[in-house]
Amino acid sequence: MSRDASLVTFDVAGQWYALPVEAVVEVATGASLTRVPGGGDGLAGVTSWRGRTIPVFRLEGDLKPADAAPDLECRVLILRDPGPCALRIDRPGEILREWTPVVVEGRTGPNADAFTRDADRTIRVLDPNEVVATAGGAAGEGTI
Amino acid sequence: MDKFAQLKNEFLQETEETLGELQRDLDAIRSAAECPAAEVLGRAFRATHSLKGSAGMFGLDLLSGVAHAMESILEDLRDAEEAVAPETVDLLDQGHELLWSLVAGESRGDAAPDSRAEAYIRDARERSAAAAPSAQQVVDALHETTHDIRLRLAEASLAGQTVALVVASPERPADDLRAAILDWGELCAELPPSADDPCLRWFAVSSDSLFGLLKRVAPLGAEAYGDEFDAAVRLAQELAPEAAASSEARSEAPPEEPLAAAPKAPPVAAPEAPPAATVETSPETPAEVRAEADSGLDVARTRPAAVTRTAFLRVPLERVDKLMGDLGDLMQAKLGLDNAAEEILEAAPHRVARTQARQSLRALDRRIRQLQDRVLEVRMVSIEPIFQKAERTLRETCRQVGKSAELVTHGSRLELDKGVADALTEPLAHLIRNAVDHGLETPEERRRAGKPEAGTIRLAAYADGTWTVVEIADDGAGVDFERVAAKAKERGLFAADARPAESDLLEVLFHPGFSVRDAATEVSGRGVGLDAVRRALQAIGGQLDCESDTRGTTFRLRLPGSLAMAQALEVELGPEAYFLPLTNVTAVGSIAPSALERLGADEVCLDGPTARRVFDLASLFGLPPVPRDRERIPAVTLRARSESVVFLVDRLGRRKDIVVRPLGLLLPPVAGIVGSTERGDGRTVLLLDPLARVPAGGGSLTREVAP
Repeated sequence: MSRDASLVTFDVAGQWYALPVEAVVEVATGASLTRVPGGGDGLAGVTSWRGRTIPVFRLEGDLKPADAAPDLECRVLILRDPGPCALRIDRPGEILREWTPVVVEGRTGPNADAFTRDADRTIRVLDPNEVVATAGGAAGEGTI
Repeated sequence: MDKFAQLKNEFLQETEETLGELQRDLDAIRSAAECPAAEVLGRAFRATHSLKGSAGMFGLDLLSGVAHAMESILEDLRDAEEAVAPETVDLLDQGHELLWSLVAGESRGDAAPDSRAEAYIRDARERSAAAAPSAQQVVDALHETTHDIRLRLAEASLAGQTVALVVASPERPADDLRAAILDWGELCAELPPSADDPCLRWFAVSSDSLFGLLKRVAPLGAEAYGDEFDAAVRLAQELAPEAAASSEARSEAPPEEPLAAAPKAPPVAAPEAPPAATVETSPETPAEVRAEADSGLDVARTRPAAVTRTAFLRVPLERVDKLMGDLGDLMQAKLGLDNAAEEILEAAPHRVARTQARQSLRALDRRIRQLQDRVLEVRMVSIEPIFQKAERTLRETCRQVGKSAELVTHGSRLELDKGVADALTEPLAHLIRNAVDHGLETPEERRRAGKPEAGTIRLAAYADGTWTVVEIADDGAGVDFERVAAKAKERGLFAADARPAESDLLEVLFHPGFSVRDAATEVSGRGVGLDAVRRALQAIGGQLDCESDTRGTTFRLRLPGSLAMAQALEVELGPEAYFLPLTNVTAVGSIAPSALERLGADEVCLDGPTARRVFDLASLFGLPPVPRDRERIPAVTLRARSESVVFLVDRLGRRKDIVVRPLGLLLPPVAGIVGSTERGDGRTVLLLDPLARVPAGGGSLTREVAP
């Protein structure tokens, strides 16, 4: 990921995350969520967005179990890639126009710099494709 | 999508239509007792010729090669003017099947090297020394150009210019040839000699004739080819909007002369020709309308070929679906307006005004529904191409298994939803293969049974209410129930001492991995088949049943009328609402908990002498079960295969027309969730197909109990 890219920050269950701003179409508050029975832990449900039905994924740290009572409304980030889909969040943060990756000792490879710091917060920088692949992989028929 | 990719997509769509027409001609060639009509052979030849050239322009080498091989065969037939040997028609059929397969692969974007196509082309080259070298040379040379050059050639063709390939051996005077070509027109590309073709080659365009070019280059020992660009001309006319919009070159064309591609269609006398914008006839694409408007030419006078075409507009299905979705949103907004208006009208003091407002709302409702019907009509396509493909599958399978069969079709004029049609093609092909391989006896067996050696497969389509029904019936000896029972017991599907009913044994045929064959053949016996077919149909809300006796076996496919709209029943499970497709619903009501009892592993309710299986719809989808501590539990009965199944729900809602939205590719597939829709309040509601989650069980689906 280019370090010149601005980041959209958001909070899920007390942990701050960030996604490249170009991967995010909009932050939608009050999105109605419909649970998908059998959708698995990674899938919070589906919602309507611009006349389409799109999946709403949840992050690994979003610990709300799949069979808990559904949120009637929630905040979501609408993601552009890898296709229109949404990510459930608790609250959006500011946009980081400049950021410096945190080098984690001993970590190498493409995700070695997937953290940054802003004020007192450590922010995990996500790859939208990985987020969807991970959440989508946790979804499916697993819970039935 | 770039322009070239867009043109290629359009070309592939058009090729599907061309192949449908070609199939009809091949059928006519096969059935001709003597020499096929020259018109039919000519049409088939031109189709393959055009396909070869167009495919070459898009770099689709295999497609072009197979078309070229077929073209060579057809050219020989045309020249021979005699009856066609069956094996020659088989060869054409094989080529046609390969073309379908290659086009389908390209359309899906997963085109892969096809060894069958390569072998077909290789064999054809060896077989036909008489293949036209000039045609192949042009196609090969086109492959070596960039897409910009091909686009330039297409534009020139569209503008009525002559497009030519000049070929000369390397020892010829290249500079002199270059000068001669430049004297004739514009030199578009010069191809360097290659290992495959050591010749000097130039593409050129000019307003002058090909003869003019030949006069200049022939004395220098070169040849010029121009007639192989028909396909490019046609393609450019239909598909190159920018080129079409360029009116400069066209305005130079003599008004009495049709453009280069026009002679393919019969001319229309100018006085009778209707204007291009009439309903009956029109130019082929909007681009042509623009171009003609720009040029200011009298279309009827200058474009006789174009105005004889029926008015069609090719639109991507996605756009129709978006329109349908917008209409659904409009309907939802209208529902919201109804609710708000009713409150306001209740308080309105004037009765006349109230009545008028309600009438207007009802009229608006009718108009929106009419509009939805119109859009649904746009999605409807003929089932005929699917039947044609079935016929090819039949012939190919007969060849593979050494049987002979005739396909008798009924209802080929029926139309069905495009989405349903797409989902039907492969399952139907599988059932045809199954009918030939398993349903029909061998010719010897049939002879011994006093039957004609050739079997008959009947393929029929008809409408049944909102369903489209397709039947595939063979006149074989029927399912060997004893053999099926033995195999099923071997696999532990029944107890060794069980005496399963014939209906249960038919259900076993749909069991994953089940096959009566001991060894797999080229066609079947791998145990991958009927269950996959049934699942594919269930995925679109369809059903697959089978019946069999000693007169043969019939598979019956019940398909939804539309994938875009559905009549649905709203039900509630806990706090959430869901829709069930109404097409499957046979009864809605309630059941007293005391009427439910256990019968083996199943929960059932009694309906006269029959016990129906009962499922808690919520539990079936992993949700908290429907509460039973009440006098009566709401229930919905759905028709499934050979039984009716009862589903318990929390609450029954109203019947509604819904616009079905696909769930999208990113959503992991969940069995039994077939789509979604949006309610008036903006919430997404899932469309369920509970039958997809009902276990078939190892025993009887409908249990007869003592009265």
